[in-house]
Amino acid sequence: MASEQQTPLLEFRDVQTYYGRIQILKGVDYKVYPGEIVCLLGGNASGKSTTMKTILGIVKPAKGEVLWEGEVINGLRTAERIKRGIATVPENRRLFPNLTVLENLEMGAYTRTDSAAIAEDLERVYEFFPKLAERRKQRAGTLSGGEQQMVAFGRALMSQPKLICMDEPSMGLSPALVDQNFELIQQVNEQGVAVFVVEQNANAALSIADRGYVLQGGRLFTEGTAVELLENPELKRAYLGG
Amino acid sequence: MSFDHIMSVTIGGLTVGMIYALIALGYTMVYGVLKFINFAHGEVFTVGGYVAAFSLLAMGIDASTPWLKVAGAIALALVAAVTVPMVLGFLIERIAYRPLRGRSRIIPLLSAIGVSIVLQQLIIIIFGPKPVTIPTLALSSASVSFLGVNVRVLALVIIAVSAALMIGLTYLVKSTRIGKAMRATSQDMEAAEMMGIDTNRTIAFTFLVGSALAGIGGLLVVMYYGSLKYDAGFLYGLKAFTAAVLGGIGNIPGAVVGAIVLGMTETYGVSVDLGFLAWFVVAGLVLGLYVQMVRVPNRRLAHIAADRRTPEYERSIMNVYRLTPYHGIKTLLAERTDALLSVSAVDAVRLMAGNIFLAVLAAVMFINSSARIDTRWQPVIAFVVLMVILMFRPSGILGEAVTEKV
Amino acid sequence: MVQKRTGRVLALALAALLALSMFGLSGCAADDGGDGGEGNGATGEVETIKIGVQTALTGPLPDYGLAAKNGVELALEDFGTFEMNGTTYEVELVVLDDKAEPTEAAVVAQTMVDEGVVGVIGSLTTGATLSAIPIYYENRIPQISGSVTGPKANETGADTFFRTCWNDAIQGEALGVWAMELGAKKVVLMDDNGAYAVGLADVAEDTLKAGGVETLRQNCQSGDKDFSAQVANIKEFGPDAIIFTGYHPEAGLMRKQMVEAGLGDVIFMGGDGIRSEELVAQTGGNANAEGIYATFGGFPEEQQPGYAAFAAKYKEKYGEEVGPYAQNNYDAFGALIAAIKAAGSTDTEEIIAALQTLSYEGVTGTFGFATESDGAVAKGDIVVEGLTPSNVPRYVLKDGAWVSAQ
Repeated sequence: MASEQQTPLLEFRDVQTYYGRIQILKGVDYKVYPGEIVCLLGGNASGKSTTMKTILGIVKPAKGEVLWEGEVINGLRTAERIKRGIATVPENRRLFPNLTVLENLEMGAYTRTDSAAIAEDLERVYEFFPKLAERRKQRAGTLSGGEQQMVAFGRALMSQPKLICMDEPSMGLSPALVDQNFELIQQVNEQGVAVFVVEQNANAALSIADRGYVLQGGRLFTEGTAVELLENPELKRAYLGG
Repeated sequence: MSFDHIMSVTIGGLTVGMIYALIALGYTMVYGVLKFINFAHGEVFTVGGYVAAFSLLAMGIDASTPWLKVAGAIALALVAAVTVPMVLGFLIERIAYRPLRGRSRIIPLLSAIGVSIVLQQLIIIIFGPKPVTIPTLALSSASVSFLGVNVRVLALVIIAVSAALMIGLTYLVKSTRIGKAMRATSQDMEAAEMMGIDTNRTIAFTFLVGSALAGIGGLLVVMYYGSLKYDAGFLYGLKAFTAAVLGGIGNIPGAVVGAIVLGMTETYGVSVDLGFLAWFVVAGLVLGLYVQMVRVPNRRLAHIAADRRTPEYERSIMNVYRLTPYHGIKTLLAERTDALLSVSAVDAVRLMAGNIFLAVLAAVMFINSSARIDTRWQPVIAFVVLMVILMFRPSGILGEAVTEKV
Repeated sequence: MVQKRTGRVLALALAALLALSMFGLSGCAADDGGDGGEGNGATGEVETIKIGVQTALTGPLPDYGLAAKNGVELALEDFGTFEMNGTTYEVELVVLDDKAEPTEAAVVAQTMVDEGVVGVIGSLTTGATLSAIPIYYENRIPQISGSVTGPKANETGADTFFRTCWNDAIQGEALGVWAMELGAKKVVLMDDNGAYAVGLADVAEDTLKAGGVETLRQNCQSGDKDFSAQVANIKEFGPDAIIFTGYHPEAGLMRKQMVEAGLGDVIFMGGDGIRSEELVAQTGGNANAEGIYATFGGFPEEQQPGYAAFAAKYKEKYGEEVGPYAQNNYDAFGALIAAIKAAGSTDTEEIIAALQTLSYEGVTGTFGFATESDGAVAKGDIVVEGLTPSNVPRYVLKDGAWVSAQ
């Protein structure tokens, strides 16, 4: 579905990052095109979380370039990136437990100042997740796991993103919730939002993704379409439990 | 003990409490966001007071100055007493705390103590070691009749101004964009960054607000007491910090409640008759009995698995908590093997012991109802009350940094 | 990255500032005590004896410490070389700094003993003296302080301790007597919980009670600002006078808050701790301060027979006005030498005996030492010729200045 002529929404060109003196990313290249679901697979300490932080600008690359719609954004602040259309659903959701559902959603729109449009988007999120409308005054920390997941999604949608980055959406969740989660990803994607999923659960991720990258020790191990990856024998052995 | 006496003590305690509260808010807000205690905050308060005093002195205000000029001078002093501490608070955070952020928590704490020492010394170097005094203004000595009792106008002003500031602060934190960012930052700084919140700016803002409140506190203290010494920040800081802990550190309404409780305890403790104080103990006893007989057993019942939840079992739990002479003891003896019951029994005995202590205390106080505690006990009483409250509620009166509170 | 670096630079700058300020402080604290004992050429006719000067050149009262040392050094010039039984004795001073700290004072006292001094002038403060007395007592070394005024300094009744300044208790008694002369029937006594103030208030209270006056005791802490509890208690008691035995910062605030509570008519009196002209500003100005009474713990300078000559000599040598208690320390050294001469021996036991019966004509007057404790007088206290509670110096604030009220 993604054509090579199109400008990628997000692109990594030979990105290298350090944590102190330890090199985490050792030169990686990703491309995410508008409307795609791309997953990033990899084990522990392979550099997945660092990739997420680099996209958001919390970690700055020491070498290489991060491009957004063809423009280098290496030095751009997080807030500016969010304004341009990058949103995130962090690992373990990271809601603000003592803020209400409504306030959590408002935090998603923190970088925006167009209050009328925010109100519209809020209505859209409530339409999307009617349960959240009922619970808008409730503290996020008191919601069930599934509801919290909705808040996390809703919060990401509130910034009118072109790309949502999801960090480990299946981490620590029951199978039923994992299913719900991946369904939500697809629903969100159907709205035209590209999704970049970082995941250990390769089977689940590849089942909804268009393309995927596999990261190992800070380097790309392989990449391809979801179908290709699912059938890659090496990958099968290493990640797919086959 | 006359009504007049109780009123003047109440107003006095409330005034002191409100001043503690203005300072305590700075401690509690910074703790809420950074989880560390800004020990230099007391000195920020002192600087506010000194700047206010020297502004008033520079404008040559005295008892004979016409009131319009006095009002103008106070307004200017207020501006100075807010601005200078704000700049100072901002710089402290920028120079002494931000470079250390993310290190082990003891390190910014040491830095804070260092800043406090440096500031105190700088106050001596800049303003001199003598206490600064301002001339008595008509405003600071004026009094009005309030419910038939003569009350200093300034005491009422302090109470009103502080209350207004606290309402304003609550609005700021609850309903404004930056306030919500403060709360989000205090709950999860990294997640806040992912939302595009500039946490550095939010933290700087927290310091600005806290310092401004402390500066206003400094101005009010100078106006009310007429003088300030370079080391005043230490004692005020200590008491305000105590108040913040008492109310639940990190909790904004908690800081105010804690400060008022502390201020009232300090004055009430040594200046009203034991017979009057005993009613507070009685109130505590009623609360204690409610906790023992209703609140704790109901909580326990909520945790019983559905299949065990028979009316008899529920009744035995209730009996244990009520320690009814026959049923309670019988259940204790008969069903000792039941884990929940034995835990409940220990719990119940502990709560009962506390209540018996309160009852005995109240009785002793009623018997000696006309006696009064010697003023030498003033700091002790406040401390004992603090310890007792924290023993039963380790997280403070309103709890640590919870719901809707930074 | 850039941001992080500026943070580090700022932190470094702060550290440098800190280091500088410390350097500055330690520079001030430089101490030139302990002269070397050069020229000890014993020929059989000249003998060197050592006399200790235990003072506090660093710590909270460096100006007092320096004045004491100056007083002794001046006396050394006048009495330091003397003849006895055909031998010329030369006194060598051993000056040691106890920082006015009790623990340090014990170490200093032990060092004095090891140095083999025949007597010690000091220490400067009550706390330090209390911990030094037992060591000098056990080692039988006479000790004369020229500045310790605390009534409890010689609580143990050591026969080795003497003082050439007045015991504060004299002021306590004088305040009680004065209040009764002014016709007070109900008197409040208020101290600041410090040893000095409590001692003074205790003696005053005893004096008043013995005279049939009704009393109420109140206290505060040094550094307190708010006295609403105490003022309310006092208002209820309805006294004719209040004797505040602490220091002027709290006294000023107390007076101010009493006036504001409508207690301006109550006679306000205190000891030498309030006899500072800064009190005027601290009460909020002349209107509040006018008519405050204070006693003083020594005859005024013009009544001290040798003062004029002493002051001239002091100014010539040190180029400044006489520091606090310098003349008392001068007298302490003089009295010690006189006792050695009277004993005709450098045996410390004989010097102690001689001090007990000594009558010495010093700068501050003709005095001896009390051999037994009696009422307000403690063993070893200075006994000044012609001093009674009623002729202890009395002062009153008039137009912002202390004038004699004898």
